[in-house]
Amino acid sequence: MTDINTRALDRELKRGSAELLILSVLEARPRHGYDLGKLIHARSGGQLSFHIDSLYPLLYRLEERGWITGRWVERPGERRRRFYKVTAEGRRVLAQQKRTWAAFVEAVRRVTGAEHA
Amino acid sequence: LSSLHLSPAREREIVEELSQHLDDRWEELVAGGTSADEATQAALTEFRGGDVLAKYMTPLRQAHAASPLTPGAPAGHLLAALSQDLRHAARTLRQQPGFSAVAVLTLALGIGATTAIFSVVYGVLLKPLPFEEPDRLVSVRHRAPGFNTATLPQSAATYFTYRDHARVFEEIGLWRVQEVTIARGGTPEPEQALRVTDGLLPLLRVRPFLGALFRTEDVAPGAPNRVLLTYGYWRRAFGASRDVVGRLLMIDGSPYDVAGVLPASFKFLETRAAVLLPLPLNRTQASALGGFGPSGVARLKPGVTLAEASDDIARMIPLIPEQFPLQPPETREMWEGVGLAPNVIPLSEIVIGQIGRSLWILFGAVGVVLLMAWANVANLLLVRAEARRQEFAVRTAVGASHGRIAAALVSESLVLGMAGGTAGVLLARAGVGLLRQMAPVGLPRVDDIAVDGVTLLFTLTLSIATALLFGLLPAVTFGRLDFNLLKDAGRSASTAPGQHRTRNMLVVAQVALALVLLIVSGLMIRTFVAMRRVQPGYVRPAEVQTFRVRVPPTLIREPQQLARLYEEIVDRLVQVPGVDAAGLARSIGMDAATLGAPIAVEDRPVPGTPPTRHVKPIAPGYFETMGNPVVAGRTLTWTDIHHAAPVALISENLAREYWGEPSKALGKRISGPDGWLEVVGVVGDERLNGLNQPAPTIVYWPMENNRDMAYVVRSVRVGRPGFLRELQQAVWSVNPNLPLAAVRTLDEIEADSMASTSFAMVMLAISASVALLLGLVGIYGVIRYIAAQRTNEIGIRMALGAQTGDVRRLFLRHGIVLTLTGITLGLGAAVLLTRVMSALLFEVTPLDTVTYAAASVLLAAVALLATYLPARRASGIDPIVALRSGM
Repeated sequence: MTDINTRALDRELKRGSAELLILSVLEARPRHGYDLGKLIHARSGGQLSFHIDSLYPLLYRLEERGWITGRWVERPGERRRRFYKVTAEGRRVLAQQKRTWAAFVEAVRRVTGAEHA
Repeated sequence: LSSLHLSPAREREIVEELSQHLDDRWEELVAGGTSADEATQAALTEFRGGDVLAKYMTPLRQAHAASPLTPGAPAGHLLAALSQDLRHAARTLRQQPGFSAVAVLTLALGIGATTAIFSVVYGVLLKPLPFEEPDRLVSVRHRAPGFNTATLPQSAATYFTYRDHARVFEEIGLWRVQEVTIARGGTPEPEQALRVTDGLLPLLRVRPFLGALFRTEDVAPGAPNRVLLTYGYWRRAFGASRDVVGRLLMIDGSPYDVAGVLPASFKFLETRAAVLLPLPLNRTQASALGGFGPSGVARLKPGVTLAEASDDIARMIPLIPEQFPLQPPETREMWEGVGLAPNVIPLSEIVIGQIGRSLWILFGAVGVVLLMAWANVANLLLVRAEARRQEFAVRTAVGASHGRIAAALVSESLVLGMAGGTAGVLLARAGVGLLRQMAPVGLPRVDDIAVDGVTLLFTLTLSIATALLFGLLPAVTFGRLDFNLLKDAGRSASTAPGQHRTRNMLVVAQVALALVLLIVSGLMIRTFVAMRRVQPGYVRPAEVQTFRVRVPPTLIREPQQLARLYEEIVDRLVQVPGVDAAGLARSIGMDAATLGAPIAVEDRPVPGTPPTRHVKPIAPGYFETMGNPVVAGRTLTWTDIHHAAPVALISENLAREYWGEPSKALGKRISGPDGWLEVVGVVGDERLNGLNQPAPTIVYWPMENNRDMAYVVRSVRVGRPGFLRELQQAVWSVNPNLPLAAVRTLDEIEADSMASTSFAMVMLAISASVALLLGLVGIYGVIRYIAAQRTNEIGIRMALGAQTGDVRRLFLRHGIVLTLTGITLGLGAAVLLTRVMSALLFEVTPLDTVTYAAASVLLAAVALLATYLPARRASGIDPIVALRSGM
């Protein structure tokens, strides 16, 4: 939640890797925005944290691209919440991005691994 | 956020989502031990504000969707915003199916009932008559104090005088309904004929569908017989054959030339004529005081008012005895005594008659039901708006104006109103179908009742008015919101006193309205019961079969033979197995076909015209069959009839009027058609004009040359299969050319006379039941809501030692105060309002104490129940749970 992290994430946002983050978290099951933010925060061990005013525009952008869809869900005794889930198109993009990412990580590992080897 | 130009619906969703997020964050912080105020600060600090959000949102397509809703923006944008608002509202409501269903159903009930009754009011009272320029058509009748009537019709003398001398009429015509027998394919069939003068159809602007209308020479005495067919009869009797003009039709045994066919659209007032015949009037034999019978219709010249028409008639009345001299025994003194004066009313009004007032009262009653439905839905919306205060606060925080929030609220209620209206129209359609089924026979223009364009316009207006009312109520109540609400968002927000007051007022109003309806329907029920208790002049009406038999002159010409024929039919009827008695009279109990005549009494002479009495020609067997007792003297015998004995019977009330005791009337003489008649018997009173009218004084003459008589037959077999056929066979065994007309049981005639009362009673009872139900729901809802609001308080009270009973009493007291206030107001309103219905009541005053007390007790009991249920629930609260939920 530090400024550095935030700024780093904002940069990542522009590069598009934050999109991968969201898509992969939503892949398992639909979640609402707050839940999503908390989960990313928790899974990154507190390293990654979304601001409310950057998280939602990002969600809306993914939705506009047709990669995720938001749906209002009402539960008894609760206010309704907007749950997002990954679309078929989103899954395709995610798979593609994961491959790219894996390839990139593998490339980095080889380069750095070679250095340390 | 407003700089983004989002569509309003989208903006609302984003606001909702963001506020959810802030809420969740706040709760998490509080759960983690942060104080509420710090948590609010922290949550808001993390939300860096609309600017950052806007920066990220700007590249998105949706940020360019629509321009914002601004006051004074061009209409196109406003409409676009409205349609988006509506779509969003519909979605919001779909997500709360329980609330929406209750609101829509309540509205549908109110709007549906109002629409149904409006369609009746419109069809019967307001819809113009189906003629060109119907507002220029008037009914021309006379007031005649000497004849004790305000509705004396026309005679040949008045008709010719007005036709010759009127300055205000474009044209005047006379008409009269007559039952005729038309022989078609050998079988005689009773049909209704409408006799008209030559001017009547032209003045109604009726054009023939085939052939030609009547000419002036057709109505002259001795003119060749010509007949016009109505469209329906033409299709029925002639299979819509085009070459019908000039063909012959046997009517009452005489041949008539078919002159033409009227268009399908022709419908004259309440007549159901098959054919139209000329109404012949003899100018040379007309006398100023004789022959009043046919009704008069005139078309006023353009621009002429009713008052001017009356003045013109008043001017012409003195001309009548000059043009048509009085014929002995008529005297100038009698003419003066009659006091003929004009009575001109719009033609549409003579159709409506008594029923108008009932319908307006019914309309008022369903209007009250609608008000109650409104109050309930308004309550629901208030509760809902309250629950959404936090949402409104967040929206306000991110830049939504009060106008925007109000627009959202109004959109939602508009969707509710429209859904309620649509469901209401469906209900109304079903209701109108039902109404037309159960409408009293006396209800005029039943065919004109429909859910049509005008009705739909009415419903649309009603729905929109509903919507605006509801949308604005919470919008105004919650207009002043401040940012501080964010702090206690979602907590046990204590309700402002103002909102409690609004809701309490709604409940009080509902109780008051329900009480008025209960009292009104209670009065109608008491009237109905009182009517069932009167002595109508007959017993066990379900066992009396009635029918009319007409004997045309072509069948039997001699009056002596006529009486023998009637007697023979009676003889055959009593031979039918199961028949106890049979008799006949000019008219049956309450079918109002009797005539009035001034009757002089020999030993009680009065100056001028003697009072008018009902006159009913009868034949033996009538009273015995009806079950009306002979109080003194004897009844008629066939010998009296055959020898035209100068005797008469009178009703008990007439005997008491003159001689105090029935037996003292015997042997006295009263005036008859040809001199004095001796009173030989006194019979029980008969209610001729309906059970709710006082019994008239009646003179019974032995029937003379009457060619249209009503038979009464008493038997336990009435209504059983085959019985009617046996009666018909009995009549045909005397003469096979006599059809049975107007076949009804006495029970049915009585039901008709009570129909408008029972119609009003049933409708008002339904309205009152719905009102009671709505009131119950209203009170229950409010007490229940207040109990829920005060859960925390109850918990504290109980933790501090309050007993279950104390808590219960707390709410009961609240409910009782509301109920008693409502009942007090309702009683006051009922005292003022029930006065308008006094004309509908019978032997019950509009201020009937029993009804008022019973209605109040019933309502109080229901209200108490509606209060008790939520109160018991509230007192069952576990203090621990209550306090925790209230943290």
